[in-house]
Amino acid sequence: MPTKVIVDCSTGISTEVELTAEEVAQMEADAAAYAVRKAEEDAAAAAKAAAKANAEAKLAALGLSADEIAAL
Amino acid sequence: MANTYELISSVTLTSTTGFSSVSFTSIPQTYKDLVVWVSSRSDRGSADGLERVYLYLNGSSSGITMINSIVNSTTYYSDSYTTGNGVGGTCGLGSGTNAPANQFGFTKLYISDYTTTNAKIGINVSTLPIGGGSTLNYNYSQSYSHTTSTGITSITTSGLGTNWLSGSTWYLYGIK
Repeated sequence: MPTKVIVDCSTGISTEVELTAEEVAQMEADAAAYAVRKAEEDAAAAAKAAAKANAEAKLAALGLSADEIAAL
Repeated sequence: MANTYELISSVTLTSTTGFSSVSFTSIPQTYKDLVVWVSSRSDRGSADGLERVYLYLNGSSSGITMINSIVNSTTYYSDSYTTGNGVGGTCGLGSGTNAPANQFGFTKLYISDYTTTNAKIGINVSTLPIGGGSTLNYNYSQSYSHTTSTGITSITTSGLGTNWLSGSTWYLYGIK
């Protein structure tokens, strides 16, 4: 079972305690939610990069130089 | 204007197996603001080399709302991890491919007016490792509000289902 550290500021004493089932579940839920959000953000970033590359290719086909495209 | 800065408590982890969270409890209500300094490393194995922090105040993530977020990074990381269930940001180094060995990330939390029911929280994170020598450069700032029926009496930080490793240190300061 994972453990946690609790520092009691009134005494300055640190204790090591096993997590409760609820705390473990919360940790797992947080990690799962993060994984979902990260996948969404990664997909959005990839789509944005692809759209940018596509737009730059179209501009190049119109005759713009790389410097001109970068200046936009 | 605050004119004292006092150490309330601190802890340095020594277990080789690490700990899933670190909590300060029974925080005295005699200061105006709180500051938490963290030098941390976790066993998170993600290749990006970073860890996330989940922040719980008074044992809960409820009442914590993100106000703003700024991310500045180079080399390995360019996204905008803003919240984790509305309660977290990024916190120092993990142990993945891009995390340099035996180094720690740095995090500061500033909690103003923590004895009130409307505290404000600022988080600054840097993976610029304490000890240097890394190409993993990541800076992150975020602000939150915390609205509850009472002031803040406990602060807990945990990672992404991971363990904070030996040598990680938390300092809790009070400012009057």
